[in-house]
Amino acid sequence: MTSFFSGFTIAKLGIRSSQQGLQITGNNISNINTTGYTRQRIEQISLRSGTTDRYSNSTDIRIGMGSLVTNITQIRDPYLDIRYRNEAANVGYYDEKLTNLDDLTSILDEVTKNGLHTGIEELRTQLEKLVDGSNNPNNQELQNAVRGAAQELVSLLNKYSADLKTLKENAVDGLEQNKDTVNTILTNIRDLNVEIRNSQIHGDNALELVDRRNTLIDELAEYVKIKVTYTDEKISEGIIVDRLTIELDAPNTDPSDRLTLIDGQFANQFEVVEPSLANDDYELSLTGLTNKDGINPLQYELEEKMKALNGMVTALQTTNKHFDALATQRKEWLKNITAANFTETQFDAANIDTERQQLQDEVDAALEDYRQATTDAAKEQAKQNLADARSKLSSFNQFASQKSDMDRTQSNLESQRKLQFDNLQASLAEQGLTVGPNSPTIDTDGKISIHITGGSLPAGGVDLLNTQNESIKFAVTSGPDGSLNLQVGTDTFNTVQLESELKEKMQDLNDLVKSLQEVNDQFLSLADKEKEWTDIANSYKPAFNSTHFDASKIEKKRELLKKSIDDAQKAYDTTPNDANKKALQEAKDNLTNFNILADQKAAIDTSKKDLETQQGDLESKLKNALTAQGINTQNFAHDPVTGTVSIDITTGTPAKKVDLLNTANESVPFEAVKDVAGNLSLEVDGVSFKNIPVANLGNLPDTAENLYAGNDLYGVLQADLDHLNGKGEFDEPATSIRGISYYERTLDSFAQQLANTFNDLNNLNSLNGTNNFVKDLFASSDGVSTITASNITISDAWMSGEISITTSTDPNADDNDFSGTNIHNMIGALNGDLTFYALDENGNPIKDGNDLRVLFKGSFEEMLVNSNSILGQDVKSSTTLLENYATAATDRAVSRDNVSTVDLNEEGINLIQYQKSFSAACRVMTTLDEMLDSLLNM
Amino acid sequence: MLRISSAGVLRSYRTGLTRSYAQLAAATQTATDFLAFRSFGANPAAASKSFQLIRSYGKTQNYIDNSKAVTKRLSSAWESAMTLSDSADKIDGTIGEAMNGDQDLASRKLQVSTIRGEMEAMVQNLNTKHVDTFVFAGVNAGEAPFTLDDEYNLYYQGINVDTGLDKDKKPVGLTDDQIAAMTPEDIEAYGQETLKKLSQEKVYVDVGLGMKNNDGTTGSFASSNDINSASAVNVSMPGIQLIGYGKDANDKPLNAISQLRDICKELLQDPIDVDKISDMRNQFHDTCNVIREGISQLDTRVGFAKSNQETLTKTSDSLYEQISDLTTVDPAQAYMDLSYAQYYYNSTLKIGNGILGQSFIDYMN
Repeated sequence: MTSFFSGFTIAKLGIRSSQQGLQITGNNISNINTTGYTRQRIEQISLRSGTTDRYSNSTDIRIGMGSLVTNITQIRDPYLDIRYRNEAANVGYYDEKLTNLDDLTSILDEVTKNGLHTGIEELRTQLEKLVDGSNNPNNQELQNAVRGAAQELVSLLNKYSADLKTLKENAVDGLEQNKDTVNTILTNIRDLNVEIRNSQIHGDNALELVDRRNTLIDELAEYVKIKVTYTDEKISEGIIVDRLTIELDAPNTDPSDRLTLIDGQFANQFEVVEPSLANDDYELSLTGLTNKDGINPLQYELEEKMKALNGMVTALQTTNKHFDALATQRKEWLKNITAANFTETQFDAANIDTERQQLQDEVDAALEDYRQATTDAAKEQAKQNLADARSKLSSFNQFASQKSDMDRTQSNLESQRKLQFDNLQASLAEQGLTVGPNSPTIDTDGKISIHITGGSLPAGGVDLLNTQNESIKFAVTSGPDGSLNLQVGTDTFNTVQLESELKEKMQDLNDLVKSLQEVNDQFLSLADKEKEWTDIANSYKPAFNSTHFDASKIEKKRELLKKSIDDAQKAYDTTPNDANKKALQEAKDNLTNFNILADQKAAIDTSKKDLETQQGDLESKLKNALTAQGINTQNFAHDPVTGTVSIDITTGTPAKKVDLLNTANESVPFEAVKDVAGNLSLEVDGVSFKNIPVANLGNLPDTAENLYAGNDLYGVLQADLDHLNGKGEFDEPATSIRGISYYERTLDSFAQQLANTFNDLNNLNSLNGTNNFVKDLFASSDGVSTITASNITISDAWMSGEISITTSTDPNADDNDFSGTNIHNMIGALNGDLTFYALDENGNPIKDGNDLRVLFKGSFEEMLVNSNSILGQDVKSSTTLLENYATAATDRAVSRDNVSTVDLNEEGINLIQYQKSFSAACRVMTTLDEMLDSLLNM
Repeated sequence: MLRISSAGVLRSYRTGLTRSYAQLAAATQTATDFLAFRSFGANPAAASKSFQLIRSYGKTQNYIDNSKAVTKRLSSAWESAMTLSDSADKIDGTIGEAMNGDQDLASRKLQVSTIRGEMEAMVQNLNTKHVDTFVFAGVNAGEAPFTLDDEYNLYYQGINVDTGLDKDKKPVGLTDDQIAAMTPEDIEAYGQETLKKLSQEKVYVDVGLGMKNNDGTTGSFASSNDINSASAVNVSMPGIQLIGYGKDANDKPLNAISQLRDICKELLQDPIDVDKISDMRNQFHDTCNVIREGISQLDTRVGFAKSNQETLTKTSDSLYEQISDLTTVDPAQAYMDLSYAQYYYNSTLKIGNGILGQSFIDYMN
């Protein structure tokens, strides 16, 4: 039969359930505007009493024991989350892309402003004025107007180039900021994972934290395309918690190759990799999973294992202390029984019953004597004897009980010690360590001491737990090369080297060698330029030659050339004939050419110095890196003429010479080669210089360089990288992604074509009869470099008036020739079709096989319109796609809201429902109270 | 059962409101500046087309300017040529008077002096300048082309108009060694050839006729002679083409000034050979006809330049209209779109009041 008072329990549980329901409803209403909040519901069950008891019978009726709230859950559809996040990545990508394209449009689009188109038109207009039939094409004023228009055009090119450069710098900052935002989100998710895990271990579902985490995951999904999975993590028996894993869901990637961003308490971080000589793209890399203490999963796992070992040793230490305490207790007991005139033997298992019985008999006898006593004195004596006998028996029983407790404690401690030792021994075996020799030892008190050997410990082993109950600790330390040392006390017993770190070291070496190769290429290119310069300088013999440009001679020669102008001028003033006029012009041209060549030589010398500094820096880095790998025999040889470096090293067993970088500028690679067994060999050109066995190799998962390879990331980060790196037709191979780099190089192609076309036309019939720099209208600002949009300028000679526009194609034309045929050619060049070539980063045309890659065929203006049109098409298509994806994402978000968010109507009804049930449960309570009153007053 | 939550409804509403406001902002912008598009991204095809039209418009403006300049230069040449012709007629009258048997030597001297004065005036006329250009100079139009020496020998760019040789009676453009190797007949023939080349010098101006070479290629012109004469306007009128040059088979000069020089010489004889002078005067009449032909040619060229200018102006207007049609919107349409966008936005706002209305909680006791 159910107890009367169980009704109160039923009412109480009902009140509690209703109260919790009301609280949950209140929480939902309170959080109706909280971003990311998911409505909560209580899970309620009907409580059932026990199935059978000793006194139950089949006629008894089983009544439930009320309601119980077992859990609070969220109402959320994970599938909608997946669908929303897929769309979020697309929205993030196109939104960011559109923002980036708007930045480009603000610079390059000329629909509502005057720009390059206007510049070209102005140049054409000024050229037309020279040949309109009424003006003298050689008129200085009109020619200055042309120069002014050209100046405006190059200034616009410089401005656009500078603006694009600033935009690129801002884009890099933007990428850094977005990267930081993503990293912050990742660390926040990681920290929330830790909090949620801890809460769940203590029985709290931490739903609010889960909501915050979901909001962060939604935010992350806009930056990169992700895949979210939840798995169960078993903490111990009966305790299972959620483990969140977030991976990069790059298109066309095998699921097993996905890189992990979050794995429980570990988070990855992105890093921006700046362009180098080897790779001119910005890229993102992943630094590897770490927890909030900066420890990677491999190290964490090893540390947990070492902690577990330390824990086991500490447990044994504690057991030893208990043995010590027990020994002390035994000594005290012995002292007490001796004082009570007992001996230890009396308490042995074989004797204890007999002794007890004997003492009981003495008590019985004393009692009988007391009964038999007739006199007061006899009674008194018998009474005393009885008391003594009872006291002795009582003491005996007490001591016996104490001994029994101590023996039981001894037995428990011994069982505990055995279990602890067995666990420790098994864990030590996993680390390649064994207990022994002659170990473990157990002293008379039961305390254990342990000596271990194995791994790379000293030959004699070490005392893990000595006879004084002192222990040494297990620990994990980092080695200088990224390896992990497993130590016990101060001795290392194992070293785990990271395979990824070793491979990275080999790649670093290869990158340094490649950088030196690039520098060598630049040295060779500079040497060619210097040779060309020397040939040109020598072509001016007898006026001057290349030797006159040495620091000790240059100024003297310049003075001589100035003097020859003065002499020629005097001769012409005296006799103004054609011959003297020609001689004067020749003298002026000689000085002009000398100055131009001097500037070029200075630029070449500066470039050479810069290269030498670069080379020295790289060589120093390479030397250190080789030494760190134990390669100490290094030879760096420099070519005295070109300045290029060649390197050879001696390494391996037996030692072998390897030409790391030969005189033909060819290199051999460093590699980390794994054999079938999994052992790793570090090699250069097939010569092995370091071997690492498989047992000592660890892997840091989820560290990746070069994430950007055309769409690995998607989302905002991908859009930023495309914006920075997209080179379109200028890429190798050509792609359809066009970013700042594409438009920079398009402008460079335009500037180069403009300069080359007009320089070639103007150098027609130059005084010395060769098509060279003598009458260049356009030049690079330093006089040496390939012309680009950023460095194109009006040549010094044109600016100062030393040269003018060549107006006629007639080689004998003078200033009175009004035919203007060369002006017509220049106008024709502006209007006519030209071929614009795709350029590499050095401004040289890109080759596809034997053919130069054509960027565009058409006039200058058509080329600009084409470029703008490409940008416009990109904007238009991105806008359309963004609208589509945004609409889809909004639909998913609305669907999700309809499932997960709070509805006031629903919560209002819940309020009424729980309020009524609360009232009803209270009514049950009061009814039972009345019933009890009635019963008691019967 | 489908569940609709307030948050879901609000999100949808918020999205719709943002969209309608964006449309209103765009319509407002259009009603302010009446631009059909403000960047290539808004309408790439139309923007590309507009730039093409603007480019054509710019070129047409240049051609119009060139046409105006050509017209002015040719008109200037025409006026000078007319003056030249008038002078020639006047001189002819004076010659006629001087040939009259009643005239004595002293009178004829006066008349010769008058004639020679007119000759100098004619030469000055032939050195007419328009802006920076000597209109009768051919290609080398920076210097006055004609000079007259003390003996009334006419030189064109330093070359004798009769012989085609320089002041030292040497062929132009040859070395001493080359000259030494030539016979007098060769020298004479070379001189005539030199004069012929000078008379055919051309200076072309692009007035939108598709300037090209004779072989059809465009964009690169090796010399003026390679340019197709139908594809550009030749503004050059070498003076010797107008007044004649060289000598005939009887070694008589073919240019008007030299003919007048010779007539004056004959008129200073005493007595005069009337028949001889009459023959010379007839030859002078022929040369005057050549001048009139030149004037007629100039007249035709001026007419063509003006006509071309008118055509270009019409083309320019048409292009402007096309550009306007492409890049601007009709104001009425713009205002209508704005009204509609405003209406749509207001409607969306009104709905919002209803969405944020009451729920069950508001009706609970």
